[in-house]
Amino acid sequence: MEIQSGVKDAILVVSLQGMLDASNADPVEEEIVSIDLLPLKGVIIDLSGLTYMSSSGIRVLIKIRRHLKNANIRFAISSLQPFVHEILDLADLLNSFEIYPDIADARAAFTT
Amino acid sequence: MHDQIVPAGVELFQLTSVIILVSYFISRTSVYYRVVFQQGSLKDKLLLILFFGALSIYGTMSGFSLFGAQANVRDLGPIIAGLTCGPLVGLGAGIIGVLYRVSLGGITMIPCCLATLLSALIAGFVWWYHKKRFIGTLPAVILVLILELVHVWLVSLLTPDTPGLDEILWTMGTSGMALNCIGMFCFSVVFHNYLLEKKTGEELKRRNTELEIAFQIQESILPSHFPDIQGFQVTAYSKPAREVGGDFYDFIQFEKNECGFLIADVSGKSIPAAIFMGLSCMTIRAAAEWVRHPGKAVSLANNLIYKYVESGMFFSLFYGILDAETGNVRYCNAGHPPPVLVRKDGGIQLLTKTGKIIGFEKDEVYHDETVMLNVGDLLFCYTDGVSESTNKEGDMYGMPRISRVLAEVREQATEEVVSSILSDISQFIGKSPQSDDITVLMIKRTEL
Repeated sequence: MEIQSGVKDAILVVSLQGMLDASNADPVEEEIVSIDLLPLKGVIIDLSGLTYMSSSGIRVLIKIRRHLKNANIRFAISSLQPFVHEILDLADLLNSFEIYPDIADARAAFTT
Repeated sequence: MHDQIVPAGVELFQLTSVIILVSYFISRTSVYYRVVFQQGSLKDKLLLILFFGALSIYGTMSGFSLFGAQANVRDLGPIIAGLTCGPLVGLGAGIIGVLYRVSLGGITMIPCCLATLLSALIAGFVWWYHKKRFIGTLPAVILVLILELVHVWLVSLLTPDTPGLDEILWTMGTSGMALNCIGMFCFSVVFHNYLLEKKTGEELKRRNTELEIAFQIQESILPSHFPDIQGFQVTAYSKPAREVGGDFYDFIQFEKNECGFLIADVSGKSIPAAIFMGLSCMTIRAAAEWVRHPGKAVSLANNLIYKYVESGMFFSLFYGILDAETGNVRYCNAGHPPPVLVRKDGGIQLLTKTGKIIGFEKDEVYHDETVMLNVGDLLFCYTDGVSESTNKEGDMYGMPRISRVLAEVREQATEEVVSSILSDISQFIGKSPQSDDITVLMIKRTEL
């Protein structure tokens, strides 16, 4: 699992690449949660590079969602591949996240 | 003078090599292990005092004489002893080294002895100050450098009127310092590897113990027998993966021919997952006993879990109540992979979600759905470890294949159906490891 992140216009974009499962869910979550949130107005998690996500991936998204909600920071996920969409649908969570087709759409939603 | 330094340097280098070998040897003994990890008895410490004392004597013996002064690594043994075993072992080893040095005499006897004892004491104090742990390679080398400077300073202080003292001090000081530092560096590398080995070994042991505990918790939670319901066959099976734990199933026998059944998959792995699994199982069981409606029971369990459990822990659950008289099943699917209802004629119906996973949102309202089990119908519940079993090409077993196999074997008894599914999964994944728990629960309405 590779994590790339960058901040532009006070929006943090975190791109996850590779497999997200029980074996790496905790370090991924820790890395994202440890990011300094103070200067941010929004966080976008880009899932376009995911090759696999197990239910542990949902746990990561849920924890981040709660973490950012407590800090009053907007949170979106973008570029869901069919299998991620399916897993979130199965857990009935599609309506519980802000979901956008790509990073640009998510950015646009954050800035309007 | 330079003619004397080169061969002497070679000699001392050989000596340092001996120290590396000795360090390697001693660090592999159980006596040293016990003392380093503060489990050593007085006898252990005495043995190490003798060992490092002998090392100090060897350091003196193998040193070389230069204008009556000994340049050597006598201090190294007591310093190592002090830095890894504490002041008692350090000082003990120092005293042995000093006694031998006294027997040799010479003008620098008193300052040399004082320096060795002081070095051992300071090293022991540093160990104690550093929470009884080794301070690490670089600090240890710097400490040796400082202690050797003190050594030279003591010699110059206590033997002021010796002719040619400056030259002796220069030669003895620089070569002694360099070799003691190199010796300490080499020892530190050996010792660091030793600690790393021990840590890895301990972690592996701890991890195995943790997994064992997780397995035991998991095993103790799963019911040891299945309910006996007239007109129905019931079976369940769970096979935990090594790394991941957290599937469970349960049956709750109510009065009036009603039987509750549930299958769930909790998030996380190892001990946290096993504990959360126990908690979830008890919560849903208590809620189910409290209210006899799947939706209401799940709503109650959700609020309890949300309120009392650390954020981010959740589980998916399918909970149904079977009325054995009518074959009616009321159920609630909280974000769980949809159970497959296989009709007698091979028709397939999926019991899809009726609400979110449990532990996600406070005050979530879960609704009941109902479905009728007619004679010959089969209800197959499973966790995502079944549908997401993956082969080496990265393909998942998937729902369509589950439905297909079930349709093929639907007329068999439940236990045989489970075996068929398991062997088909095993055939599908081939040599790929099982990556998640595999759990199934099945109810079949038989001929009356």
